[in-house]
Amino acid sequence: MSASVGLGGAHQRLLPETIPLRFFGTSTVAHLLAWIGLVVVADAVPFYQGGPGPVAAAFHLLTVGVLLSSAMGASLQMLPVALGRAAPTTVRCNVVYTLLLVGGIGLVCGFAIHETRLMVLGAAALTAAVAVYAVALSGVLKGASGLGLVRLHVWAALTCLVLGALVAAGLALDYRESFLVNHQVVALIHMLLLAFGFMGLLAFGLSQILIPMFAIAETSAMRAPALAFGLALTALITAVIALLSQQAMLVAVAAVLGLAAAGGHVADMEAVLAKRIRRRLGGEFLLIRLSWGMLALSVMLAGGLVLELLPPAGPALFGFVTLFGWLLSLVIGVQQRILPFLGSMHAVRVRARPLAPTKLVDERCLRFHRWCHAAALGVVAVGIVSAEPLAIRIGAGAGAVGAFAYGVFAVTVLKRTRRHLSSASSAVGRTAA
Amino acid sequence: MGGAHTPEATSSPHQVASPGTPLTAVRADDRLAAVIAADPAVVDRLVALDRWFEMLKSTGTPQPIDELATVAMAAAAAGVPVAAVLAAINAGRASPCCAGGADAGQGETAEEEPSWFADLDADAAARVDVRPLLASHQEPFATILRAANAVPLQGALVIEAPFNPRPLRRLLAGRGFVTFGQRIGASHWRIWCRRALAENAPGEGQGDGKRAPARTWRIDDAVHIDVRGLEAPAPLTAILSLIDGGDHQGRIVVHHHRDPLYLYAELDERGWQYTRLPSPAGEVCLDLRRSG
Repeated sequence: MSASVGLGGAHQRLLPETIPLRFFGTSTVAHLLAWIGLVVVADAVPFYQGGPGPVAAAFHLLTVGVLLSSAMGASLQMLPVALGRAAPTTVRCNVVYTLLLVGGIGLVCGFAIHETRLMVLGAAALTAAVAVYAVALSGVLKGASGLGLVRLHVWAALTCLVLGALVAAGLALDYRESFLVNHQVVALIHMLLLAFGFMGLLAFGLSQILIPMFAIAETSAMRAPALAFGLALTALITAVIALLSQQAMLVAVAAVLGLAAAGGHVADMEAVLAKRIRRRLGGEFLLIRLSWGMLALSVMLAGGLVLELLPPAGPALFGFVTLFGWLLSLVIGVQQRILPFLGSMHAVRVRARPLAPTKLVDERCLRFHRWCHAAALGVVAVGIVSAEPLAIRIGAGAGAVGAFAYGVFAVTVLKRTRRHLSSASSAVGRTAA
Repeated sequence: MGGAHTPEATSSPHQVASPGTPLTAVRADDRLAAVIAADPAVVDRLVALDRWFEMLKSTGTPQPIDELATVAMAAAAAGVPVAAVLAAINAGRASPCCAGGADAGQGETAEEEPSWFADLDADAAARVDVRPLLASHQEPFATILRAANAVPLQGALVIEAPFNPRPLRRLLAGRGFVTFGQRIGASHWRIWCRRALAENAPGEGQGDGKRAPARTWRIDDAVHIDVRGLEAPAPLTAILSLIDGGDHQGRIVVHHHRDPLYLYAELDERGWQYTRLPSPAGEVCLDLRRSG
């Protein structure tokens, strides 16, 4: 019998601490900037119908800076650990991050000042970031065994991301070359592919690992998530076809299918939570559950929008509920649990004493952020519907204050992890001496 | 370890009968080589259980494979619940229920009351009294298993027996039960069983969308849990369920297929410490102990 102590390739599965830190750090800063951006563009938000400008800049601060950055950072680190595969190389991750940062800044600045060259350059850099990320993640997924349904979700999400990025590049180029027949429809497809396709399917897939892990619960049987996945994918394809063929009723059908998928996913997750062992769920579940409600509302708004049941502020409301309500709530909810986890895992990585994640967390900051976030969503939504910029400004201001508190939480996690690691290394030094 | 094993070379930590001596119940930590040397028919019964054990037939003596050192290890290597392997081995000896032998309760000291016992709903427990069955020379094993199978998760079963049926208790442990034995009288034991985990039936859940559960068994003061081959996050949730469930004496040995990175943080939260144990290639073995 071998007397070796197996580590099961732990070091290969963990990225260097700085990589997830960069993605999540960017996301934390962009989170604050996105709310501030909304304060600045509040006057134009209720009447926003799409197209470049400061409102698009504020929305893309959120989508690229927070959502894409978090999704990339989380998937590059969590999937290798969950699948037992080697993490992508540091160089590849650094290339993704650099292109994401450069592309994101270029795109947002380009939108803000109506500079099409910057928009095109930004979109090109982001498309390159997506391409390298897709290759890196494919390397993790290929050859992995187990978690077949999760991998299916991630493959589908990656496909949507690549298509969405290509469509985005086309949209940016269209501002210079004007070759698209219907720019607005293509812009809607872009949003659909990235918000519901990439982020939605990735969220559905990763939730099957993260929610049971956070709550300490048995995973659900395959049927429910497989059904939700099938419905979501069908809804997505139907919606794209409907938009391309300009058939409003088909969009409504897609919305119904999407609602069924969302309902199935939420019911499945609630069933998992019902079987949990952890009696008291953490505060992150308030945000996660809020996001589930917002997902349903978002799909209903999409249907209402197509059937012309919404007020003139409908498109802005739909965009806000989808991006800030559903996706931001979900990402921040998950991230506030992952950040301390990562700190704790890296303590194990450097062979320091394990560190309980709760010891890294300043719960007051998170509580304060939750109140601000919920208030911001409600007040901004009311402001959009009533076309009242002051309400949007107040709501977004509350969101910004909450985002600042969230930033304090993130910095606290980092500081406490560093303190633990340095005390561990000085203890090792004393022992060696 | 390594090289050819002979029955003489693999002495058991527990006494296993040699050919011609009265048979006693085999335990999970008995050496498989010694078990087969004492009762060669064991090999056929194991092959009937799982064809993986055919490798034991090649030369008439056990293959000198390190992982087969004990019955528990052989079960883990074959991917068969240890309880099923024990049942197959003991099937030719005596009923697990009746296999008292050295474990029959004579001179046994009282067991310490486990933490879960205080919360047990005795009134709602299913009850089986095997004493009349044994007195009339009937096999009580099937009756007990029927009753056990009907017990829901966290439900209880009470068995009245004329001795402490340790083999049966180990078999029930393999099916997700924790047990506590009370000596009521000279020939009367009351065994309290609580279903703490889902049953570890071989291949359960495969193909119907459910995942196979973790395998658990007890050796001395440690509860072993084998989560190899389970998909994330099932290993984490199975281990933490076991820790939080309290059906242990503060020591759990984890058999994992890789270093469980997410687990360490949760252990620290719960005041548990871990030590990596030497393990075969492809396995990570952790000794978890409650601090203090």
